[in-house]
Amino acid sequence: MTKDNTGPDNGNKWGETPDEDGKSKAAEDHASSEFALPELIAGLERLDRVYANEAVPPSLGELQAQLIAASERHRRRMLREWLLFWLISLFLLGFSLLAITSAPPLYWMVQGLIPIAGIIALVMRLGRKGRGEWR
Amino acid sequence: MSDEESQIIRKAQRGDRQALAQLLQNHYSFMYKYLLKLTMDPALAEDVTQDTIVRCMEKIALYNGSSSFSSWMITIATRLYIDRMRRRSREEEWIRREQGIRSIRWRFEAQGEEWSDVLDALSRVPLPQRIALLLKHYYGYSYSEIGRILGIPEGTAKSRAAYGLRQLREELKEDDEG
Amino acid sequence: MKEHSNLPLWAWVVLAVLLMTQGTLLFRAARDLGRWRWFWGLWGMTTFPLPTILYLLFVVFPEHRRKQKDITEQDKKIRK
Repeated sequence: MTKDNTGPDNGNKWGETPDEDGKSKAAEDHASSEFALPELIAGLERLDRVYANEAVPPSLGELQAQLIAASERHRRRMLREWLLFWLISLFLLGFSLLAITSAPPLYWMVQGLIPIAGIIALVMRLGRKGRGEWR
Repeated sequence: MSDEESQIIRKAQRGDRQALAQLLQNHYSFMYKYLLKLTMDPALAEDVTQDTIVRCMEKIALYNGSSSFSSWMITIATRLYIDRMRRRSREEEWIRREQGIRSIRWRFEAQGEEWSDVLDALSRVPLPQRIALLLKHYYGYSYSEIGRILGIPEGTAKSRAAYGLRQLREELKEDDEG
Repeated sequence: MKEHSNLPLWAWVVLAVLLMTQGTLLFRAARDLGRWRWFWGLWGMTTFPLPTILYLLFVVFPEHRRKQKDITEQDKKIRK
């Protein structure tokens, strides 16, 4: 249960009762579990009420028109991406066929480096995600 | 999930635009309200809602029913919002937040609704903790669901929610004292 | 490695077609899953069959396992 309170910056900011532990912490938790939460929920419900008009969904026709416009944009973007992919691919394909014939050591070295680079990128990404950073 | 909804979803996945519009309309209100609470900025909530609709359309085929449709949408909306915030500097974020909260406050007054300091306090909780706090204590998601929505481990979701709540209380106490 | 240049023309054509097919399929598959489409697609254009094998190993297989896990989790929820 005490693990519940180990926030990332714990200890630095929460300086009020630094050497409390175990029981007193749990007691404080219990007492304060009533503090702020009901207010929060009531406040957010009031917020919903005040913005009830904005939350009314648009008509089906409007939504459909929006979807059509968006799917058209999407289709165009995909087409552009596809063309770009093919263009780059043709160059790459040409280069690799050329490399296999004229410079095999270079070709195989590059082929070995690609998965290694991919794994490094993956590990870096997972590391960032695991620490939960997004800045 | 009701049978009716899963039927609409299946239709939408097969490319039936009317079914998709219906599905999005059903969830529109829920999504806008969620984004309003998350962003504390009505204009931004509106923008992200639009983005979410477009993204849902693009990704509807990828929805596999392993979570409810509404939490799938929340996942998309949350990630779009986080992406937007990532592109902003801290100063910009601060200015926007002040503007957002001011416009909400103004609206409260205009409608004769009593202002609640807890909303002020909530807007000052840092974004990662605020999201976890909302999802846990307002929407009642489990930590593993929150983890899946944010793409973080369950333990991180738990500590963020706890830290967010603690910070909210701190902010409220400061309000009381100051 | 000299024997490569002695390959008959038809073998070169087959190789090119194979690479193009592989790259295209990988790009599309990775795009639909939202996983590094450019990496898989472009690498798939340069060599065979390593990209396909690694794609199966690193993307398809984990995805399959994740789905199985989701299904069993839901099963548990239903049975509760």
